Amino acid sequence: MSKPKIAVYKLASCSGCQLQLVNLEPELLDLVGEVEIAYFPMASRKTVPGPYDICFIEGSITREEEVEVVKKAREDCRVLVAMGACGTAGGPQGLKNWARVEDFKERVYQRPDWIRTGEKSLSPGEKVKIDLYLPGCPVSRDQLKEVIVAALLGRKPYLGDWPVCVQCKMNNNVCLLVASKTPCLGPVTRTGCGALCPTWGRGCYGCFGPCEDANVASMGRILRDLGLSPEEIVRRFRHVTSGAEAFREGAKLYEGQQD
Amino acid sequence: MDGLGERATALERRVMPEEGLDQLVRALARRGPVYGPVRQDGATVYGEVEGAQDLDLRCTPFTYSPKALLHRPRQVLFRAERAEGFVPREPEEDGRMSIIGVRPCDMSAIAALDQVFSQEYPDPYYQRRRQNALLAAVNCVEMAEHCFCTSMGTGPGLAAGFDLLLTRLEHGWLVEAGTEEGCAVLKEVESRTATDRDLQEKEELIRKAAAGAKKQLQTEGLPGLMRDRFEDPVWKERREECLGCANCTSVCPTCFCYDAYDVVNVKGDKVERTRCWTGCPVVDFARVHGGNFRSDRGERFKQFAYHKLCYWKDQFDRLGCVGCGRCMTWCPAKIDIAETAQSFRRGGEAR
Repeated sequence: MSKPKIAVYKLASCSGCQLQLVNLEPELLDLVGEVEIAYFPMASRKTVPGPYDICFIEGSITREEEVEVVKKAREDCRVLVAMGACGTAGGPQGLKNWARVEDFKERVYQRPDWIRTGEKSLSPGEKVKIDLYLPGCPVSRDQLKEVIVAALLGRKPYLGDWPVCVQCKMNNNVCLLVASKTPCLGPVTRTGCGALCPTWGRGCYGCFGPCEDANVASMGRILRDLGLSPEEIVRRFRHVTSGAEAFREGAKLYEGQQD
Repeated sequence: MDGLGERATALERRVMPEEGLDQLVRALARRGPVYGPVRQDGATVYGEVEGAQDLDLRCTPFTYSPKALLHRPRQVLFRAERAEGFVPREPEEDGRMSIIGVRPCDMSAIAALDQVFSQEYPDPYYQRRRQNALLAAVNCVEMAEHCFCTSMGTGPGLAAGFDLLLTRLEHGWLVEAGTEEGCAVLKEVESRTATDRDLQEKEELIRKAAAGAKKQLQTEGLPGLMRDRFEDPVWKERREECLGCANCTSVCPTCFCYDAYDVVNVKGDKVERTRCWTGCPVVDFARVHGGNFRSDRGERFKQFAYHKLCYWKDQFDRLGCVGCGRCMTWCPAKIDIAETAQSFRRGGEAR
């Protein structure tokens, strides 16, 4: 029996998520023993034609031609996994969905005239059916591995879709939100990072996007009580996963409100 | 338990000077690692201690319980490798350890966990750690803002269940030994026999602490009252506030629920089954084949409140709440289940 083929596609992104695949170093050799890395331009020049068994798609759609890449990936792949904040919720570049792209270009780039990009940042799921969303900025190595192993074993991956708080308490961390009144999105954010930021004394930025049934209204009230302005709350919800439905809702509650 | 702990059953009662606490920690350390309340990021959590200087034995509102030392946040249940079939291997055994500074409410919680993990489905992982743990409890001589142990009959004084029990007197520490091992530890510490005056001082301190309780939950007929108010509109308000973050269940010293999962290596020839904390506020918790039987956040929050103040009684013939006040202290939305339950007595609205 031939080995399952893996493909990795890239759209508008920083490549940090596909780098996590390469970062599976201790088990990378075992991995290439079990699967064929068929299409992964970042790691290998070799390209094996599809169809592929598992395909990871990183990044968001910011240009028309990227829609074609997404459609091709869908056609080529049995299981399509959208990964990262960009692949699941538009990513940080999704901020332009709520602003003028020209303003961003001018603020960010020295030669804005060299930049070719569309008005919006869309996650691939807005154009094709996605079988599994693997959030994170970047995705977690352990979760990435779990997805591959689960696919090889033919079972559902165990990703633990809980709020960051659950993981945070498991780490014996003192709750920042309560003890030091540090704004933290932990209660509404999905875990996967191992509660990385709160473990180092920083409030959760929400990189993994909203957890299931995230109560953004209550979260917003708590942030407001901590003294955040409506604008700051909108920024927090939009930060990395502005396209995620619950965070979009959270931002909407405070958008345009005066302090 | 009377919660005042005046008649603590002890084999030996001695008084050690101030510096005796350090000697005591070091005596325990000769038997294995010692864990106790230490300051961290503006709160008190259990961590490994080497001497008395590491300990913070005050009763302050921002504390964590010692639950994690007995019911591990993550516990490997077994490892297996593919050979002739899969051969499971038990995880390594833990050695002797001591937990110092356990408060009376937490001692009551440990008794509750003992029941949970021994009754219907004996749990070797918990039991092993529990049997390996020497418990050096400490009576409370002050009450924090959210404490309502006096309502639950779990404090501020402890009556039984300890290896060692400390009480801070004006001059030095009263140490009571409840087990032979406790007596043995006590022998390694400089001390004198306790007098009736010392014991009177202890009783007085505990009575004074109890009188300082600011919070109250009437427990008489509470499970029935909770049942009657199952559809009370106040639960809808709590639903809007609850974040579903499970801070309450994580910090609760009696919450014992866990999830289990397998980590398989890439080659598919090694597996590690691990269990980890989870709780009813998490959506995934009640997801079973075919659906989720508590898909509504309000139902999930109610499950926490009702398990503690109602269902626990049917299950274990006591309440699941020990009055430590942690769930309300650590709730980012400041939800207070005791106050909610107490409001039913007044028939009025409350947080």
